[in-house]
Amino acid sequence: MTSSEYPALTGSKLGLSVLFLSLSNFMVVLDSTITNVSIPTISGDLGVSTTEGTWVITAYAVAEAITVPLTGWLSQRFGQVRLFIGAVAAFVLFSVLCGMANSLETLLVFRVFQGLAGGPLIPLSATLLISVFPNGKSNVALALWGMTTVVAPIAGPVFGGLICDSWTWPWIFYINIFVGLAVGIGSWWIMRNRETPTESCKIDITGLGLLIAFVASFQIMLDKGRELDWFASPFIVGCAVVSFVSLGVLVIWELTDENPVIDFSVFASRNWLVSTITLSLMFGLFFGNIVLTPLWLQQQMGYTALWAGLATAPMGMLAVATAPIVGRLLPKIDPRILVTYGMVVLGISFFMRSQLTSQADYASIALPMLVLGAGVPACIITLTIPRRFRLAAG
Amino acid sequence: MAAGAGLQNFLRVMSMAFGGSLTQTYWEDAAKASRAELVSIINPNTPLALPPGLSADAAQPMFSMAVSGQAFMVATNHFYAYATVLILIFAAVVWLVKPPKGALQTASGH
Repeated sequence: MTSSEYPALTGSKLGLSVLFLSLSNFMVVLDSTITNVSIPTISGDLGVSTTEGTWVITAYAVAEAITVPLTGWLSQRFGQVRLFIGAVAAFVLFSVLCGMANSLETLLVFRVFQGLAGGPLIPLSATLLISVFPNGKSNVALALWGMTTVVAPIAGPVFGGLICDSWTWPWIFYINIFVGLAVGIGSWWIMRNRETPTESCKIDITGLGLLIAFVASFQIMLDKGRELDWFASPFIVGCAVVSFVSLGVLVIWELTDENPVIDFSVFASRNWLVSTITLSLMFGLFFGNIVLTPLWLQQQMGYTALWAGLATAPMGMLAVATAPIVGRLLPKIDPRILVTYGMVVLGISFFMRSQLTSQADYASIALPMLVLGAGVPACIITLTIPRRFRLAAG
Repeated sequence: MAAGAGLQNFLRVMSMAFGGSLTQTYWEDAAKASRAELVSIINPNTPLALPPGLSADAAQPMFSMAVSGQAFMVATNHFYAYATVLILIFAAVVWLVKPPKGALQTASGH
């Protein structure tokens, strides 16, 4: 980490920087789920089907996935603080444009730009948090960051439902103006003198192009496939071929490039590989559940956006309650036991959900969500904090 | 920026996008399949028992919606049944991690 050249912050400056940095990660992660409950509203307003409407969710996530690996290069080129402030400003700008969009196409374009701007904020907020804490306290910083990663996707549907039902859907994007300006101005004021050194370094353009080709074509295949009947469509076959070939070439290219966009050499660490694969699989399933629940509630069970959000909200209670416990247990307990506990709790919640009937009342939907919350931090925080599993992050 | 943390965030965010998309695809396909299954066991010769005040024209779409609702319920339950199995498999995967060495208490920064 290049950020330890400045002394750690103390007192109110430390408190405020923790607040602003956590809030930035919160805002970006929140935006991946805040639209979930709003899909029926947005689709209806823009005159498209909900199947097309879900592009609003995935376009953002895919765009984020592309700029996350670029963060290293961008922060070397521009400095971490400048990149952070710039990304926050761009995020606010594109949030406003998302809110002003009057067709699905324009909304998707701005959603992609919003995701591109938000991507670097995810790892950067973690790096900057570590840099403002004293040396031995980086696990506190990472636990805080992990906490915002846990709570934000849960808060998204609640905020989204509240805003959609009380105001109009553009406000789910406009609220970023207030959060973003506070974060941007506040962090500039505190960290303007903590800029990291910059150097002009080469970017791996080929690798970046291959990465974009792979992620974009694979996601288009998944999203468009269900409309076009999968491999019966030449377009879907084309997407599949492009994604497969670009992934293959990407891996070969990155293993030979000097400054790879994605450094596959960390794959050599078995513990890193296993924990990252487990985290990704768990997150994919967890996110599927967060996307599905509001759609099902609103389309089939007659819930409003707000009530759909409120049905998922109970997850937050035990997540917030157990996250600090996980943080405290981490140094003492075999991390594999913690993760297994978390996954089994998730399994119990999923099993409860698989037993529902269409007469299910609010409580029988909210209860599995409450249970889910007790397992999520044990999975996410344990698998994210690097040192326990001796990740390459060192 | 640590390469490991960056790549982990990338894979996490990417699998989020893929997971959301795959879930919805599964859900819609499973609902279609279970609707077809439900429709196939309906005897078309059974006269609809009309609730008072409901015309036969209105009853049919209502019945169709009820069947759809049940089909989506079955699809939702199947998704969560598979999710239960999958998450337990993921829990098994994590045991491929090498056990932490030495006394755990001394390994932390506390």
